[in-house]
Amino acid sequence: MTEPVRRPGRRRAWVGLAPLALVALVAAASALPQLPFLALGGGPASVAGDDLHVAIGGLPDQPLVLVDMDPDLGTYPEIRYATRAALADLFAVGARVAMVSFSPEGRAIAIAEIARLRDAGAGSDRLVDLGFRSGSEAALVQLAGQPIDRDVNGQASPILDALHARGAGLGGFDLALVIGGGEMSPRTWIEQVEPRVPGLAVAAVTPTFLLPEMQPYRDAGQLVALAGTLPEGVAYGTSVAAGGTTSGLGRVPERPPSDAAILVGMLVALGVLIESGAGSLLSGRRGPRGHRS
Amino acid sequence: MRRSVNAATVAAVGIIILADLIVANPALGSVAGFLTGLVVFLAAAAAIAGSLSLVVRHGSRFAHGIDRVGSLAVLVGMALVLLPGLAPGSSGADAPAVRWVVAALLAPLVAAIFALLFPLLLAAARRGLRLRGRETALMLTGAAAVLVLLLPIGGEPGVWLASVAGWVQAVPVAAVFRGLLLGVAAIGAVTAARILLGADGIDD
Repeated sequence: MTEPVRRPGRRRAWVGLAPLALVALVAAASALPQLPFLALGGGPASVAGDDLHVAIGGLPDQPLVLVDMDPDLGTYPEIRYATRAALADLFAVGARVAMVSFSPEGRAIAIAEIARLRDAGAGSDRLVDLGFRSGSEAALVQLAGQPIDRDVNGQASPILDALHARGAGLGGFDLALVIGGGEMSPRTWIEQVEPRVPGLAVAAVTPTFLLPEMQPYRDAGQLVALAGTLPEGVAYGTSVAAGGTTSGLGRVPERPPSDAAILVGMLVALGVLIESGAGSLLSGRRGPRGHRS
Repeated sequence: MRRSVNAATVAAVGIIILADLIVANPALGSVAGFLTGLVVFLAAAAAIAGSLSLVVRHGSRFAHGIDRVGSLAVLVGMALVLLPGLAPGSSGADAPAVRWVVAALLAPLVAAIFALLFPLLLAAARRGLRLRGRETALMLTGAAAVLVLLLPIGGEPGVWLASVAGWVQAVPVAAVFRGLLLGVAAIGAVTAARILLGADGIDD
């Protein structure tokens, strides 16, 4: 009796094609319409996502809002939908926005977002660019103790005039919205700014990896609102898109991430983990030969 | 002696900034503001010095023929980002050419590297199971459990998964995370005390 011939070359070719097949599968899934049994922003996520909508909706008329744009280039795709929804939400309630960055990556993203908002019609009376401030935490401490009366080009601005009329620097803002990342997270704001400017309300949009760090601050009320996971961001963005305008600055400019594509990616990861674990267990039962590597 | 001067300087700056946080005094505030400005200046100087050091190091490696391709890639990459912003007539970081470099090169490159984490982690998990089966299996069981809990499913099963995920995050994950933070804070305090008391050099 002859044993079946193994063809390692063919197996290797299949393994090599697997990543391409995964990309094709995720691309195909992202093109699918909304599936009824999937709910990326449903359940408890929608409650958490509503916090930010309520916090922004509760701001006074024509509020002054400081947006700290400091996400990472790597994790920004995860929070881009929630970030753009938050900016649309702010403009929909008539906010006058000042944008600042403390990290180089955050500044690069801020420049792109400012250009997008200017194209959408944000004039100097609605949006002012405070630029990049080097020095990370020290720069944030410096900003908390200084008057803010000039934009990135050293020019005056109607928004900064309004801030100046309130007689305060950072404390003159009605809300600080921190779009966080690894280098500058809302934790820095709470540690460095809240003791110096106690009246300033801080809200945040962060990628999921920061959630264990952020959750205690949300629970303690030091963050008035937090969209800290992809489902919360999607729930928040969907809520803003449903109640917002269909054009101009109050429009959410993109559709939410595809839950079908995310489900496919997660199922593939689970499949690989289970297959690897089962294969390892079986080879362990076969004895020492199975452990060759 | 030099270590003591450094430690004393760090301690004095820290104490002044801490005192400014507690005591409302204009003179103390201006000293703390000056020191903060100095820290900002030092950070900017360190960033520029780091960039120059990178250029000199890779320029020298390129000139001596050591990993020419790698060094050239670093130098060309730096030039691609710096030159459009520093060129005469350019408006700096928000110049169209810089925005194009960021949007068309940097952001896709970083996003691609980040996306590669997904297949690379799966490949690493497979290798890990072959090399250190028990420990890796424990870690991967945790990862698989998290993946199951975060599946974007609607209806009653989705609500149940989300509530279990909330409990996992609020109890075991929060406990481990707070334990880590407390441990780091305690080690930081002990290290700072050793520096202040001059006990840091005993082990050297």
